[in-house]
Amino acid sequence: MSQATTPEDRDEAFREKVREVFKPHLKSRQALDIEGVNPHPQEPKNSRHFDGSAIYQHFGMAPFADQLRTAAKNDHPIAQYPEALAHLVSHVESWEKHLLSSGGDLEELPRTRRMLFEWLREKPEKRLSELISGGTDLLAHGGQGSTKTTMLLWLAIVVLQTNPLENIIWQASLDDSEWKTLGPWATACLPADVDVKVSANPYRSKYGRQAETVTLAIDDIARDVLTYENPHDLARQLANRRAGQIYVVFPDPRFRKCRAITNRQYTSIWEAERTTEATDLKHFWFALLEAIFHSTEYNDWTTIIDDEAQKWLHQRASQDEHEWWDKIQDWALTYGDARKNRTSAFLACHNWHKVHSDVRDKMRWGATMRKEEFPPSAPIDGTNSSQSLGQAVVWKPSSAFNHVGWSDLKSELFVAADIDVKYPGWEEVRNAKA
Amino acid sequence: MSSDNRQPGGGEIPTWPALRALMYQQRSMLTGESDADFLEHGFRDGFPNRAYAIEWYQSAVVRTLGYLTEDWEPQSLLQDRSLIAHLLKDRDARKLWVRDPPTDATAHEWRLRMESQVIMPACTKGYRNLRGGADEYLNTDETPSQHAADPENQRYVAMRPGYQHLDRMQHRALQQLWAGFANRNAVMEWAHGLVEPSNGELDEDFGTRLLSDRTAVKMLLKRPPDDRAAMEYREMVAIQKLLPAFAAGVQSTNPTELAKTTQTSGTFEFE
Repeated sequence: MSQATTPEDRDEAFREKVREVFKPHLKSRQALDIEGVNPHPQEPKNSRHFDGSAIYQHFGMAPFADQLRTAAKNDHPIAQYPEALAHLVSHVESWEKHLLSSGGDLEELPRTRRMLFEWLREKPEKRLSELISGGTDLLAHGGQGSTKTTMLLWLAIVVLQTNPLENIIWQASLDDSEWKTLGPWATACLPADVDVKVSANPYRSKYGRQAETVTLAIDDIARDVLTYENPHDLARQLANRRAGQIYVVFPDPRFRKCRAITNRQYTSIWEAERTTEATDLKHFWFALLEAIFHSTEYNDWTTIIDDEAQKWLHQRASQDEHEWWDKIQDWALTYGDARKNRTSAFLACHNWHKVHSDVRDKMRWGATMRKEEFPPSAPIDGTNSSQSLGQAVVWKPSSAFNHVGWSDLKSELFVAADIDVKYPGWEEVRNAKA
Repeated sequence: MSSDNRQPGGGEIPTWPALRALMYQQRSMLTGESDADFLEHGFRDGFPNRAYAIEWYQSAVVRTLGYLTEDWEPQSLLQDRSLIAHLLKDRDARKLWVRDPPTDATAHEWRLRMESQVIMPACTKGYRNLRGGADEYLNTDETPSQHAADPENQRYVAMRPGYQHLDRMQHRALQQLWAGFANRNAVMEWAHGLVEPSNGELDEDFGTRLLSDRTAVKMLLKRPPDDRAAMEYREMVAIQKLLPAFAAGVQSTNPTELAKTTQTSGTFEFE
């Protein structure tokens, strides 16, 4: 019996579908933030599980340490050369490294972390000697469609699995929404007082010819939303939430406090006379790192993830009116300090040589996607011709390398639509001043 | 944990993926036809110069699991000028080594004989050595994963990353030697990096000893590429010091460890 459904009804049905697919995970310890339960030191440790535990199980992933064990039994290189991968996702404090070498008690650690540590210390010469304390850094490169963003999503999940009190900061772009795979556990961080619009373009083949853009709310996809005034404020808010979460940060088109934080030039579209004079939104990330590193309140382990590194860390950045070249230098220098202080950076780009060499020098691990030529610093020559989609070679210069593959996470949370986030007000001014 | 697809008898066992890969690597070093191979020249066609021949020799030792040195010692590349002449592609290049150079046809024939009398037997020994080990692994509970890599695309020598690693690092060490070094520090760093590809046969002293020799220092520090003397010196260091140590490194790596690699060092799929 066909109903005369109105377009509004169809839109709402679609929204319901989205909300169902991205149903927020509310049972974890971190989810208490949404219920307005303030974190406090006396919070009973065993009360709830971590987001990190929930996420990998949701995607049907096995504990990382278990997989390393199986690999070791079969003498697979992923276990024999732990520098290429196992160490990349092991974020340890220097006292933890000491604990590992001295055979200290691991009982207090969260289960998946303890499992990994036990594995590492079973063979100290092979598995511990090359382990570096502090943050880790990766630059992955591959063409469009090479699934490098999925790789970053997978790494984020593995990091959270073994470092359940670490925060992931996903530097979001307005162009795509790959982060939605982690929506049910993610907190979207939006710039305050900025017009934000989330829209979905349902695929025609599924929704028929009437399908048009449907407006969504950001928390139809993300578990939680917060708004921030400026990078300092964002850091402060994160410091006051429970550690061990995913934050999807959208840049502030007004660049509030960015000039003060970085001591470099920023011109928003509202300040510019012509669009070409306005600073690119991605320059926000320079200020974000500074704010996180220098924050007196924020001190959690953090992995920053960005899948379009060449857009703001470009090799050919000129010393222009935005002081772009200087910003890149600053970022590389600050990152060098930040990684001694619990910060990691996993970056991806289309083309290895387009990322600034001073940044590349800081990235101690590389990942080469299929069909890509291995960069000069890789311990392998030639092209990665033996792998398929969903696979990459993870390597350290002149040292270990490993061929790895990850599962197709996106098929787990799938909605037959393109979803994007826009700033309509900002776009309007941009078009007017073009 | 997700379902384990490594069940005995589950589907077609890709029989001898390690052996097929080794055969492929061995063929490739002779014919030079593979794009995926880092060797630029195959044995049959000959080499533009001795440096390429040295590179080939290094990799051939790995691909024969060390057996090549039994009938063809590295020293001959230094001492036997006629041998070098016959390895080279062009008549003009041969003139640098012997007064009355062989013709292209003669040199080609000589290489074919070398292939059948020396190289192929070494290949066979390497293959048998590996197969001997492979027998063991098929008898255990562990069987190859269904995702065994297609040897056409498999760039690992003998499927053991230890060999791949050794081969790559040895090759790289030679290339760095040809390129020369900016300063003494660079030489020391390079020497440090020889410990692993020689499986410890070359120790840290090697760099110090090199640098204590004034001639060595002169010849190793960056010189223009057409400086024949510097290049000859570097080739001599490669032949006398590196090739024997690299070969010993290959031979001291236990081939039966290789047989136990069931996840055939293709990509490790994380679940």
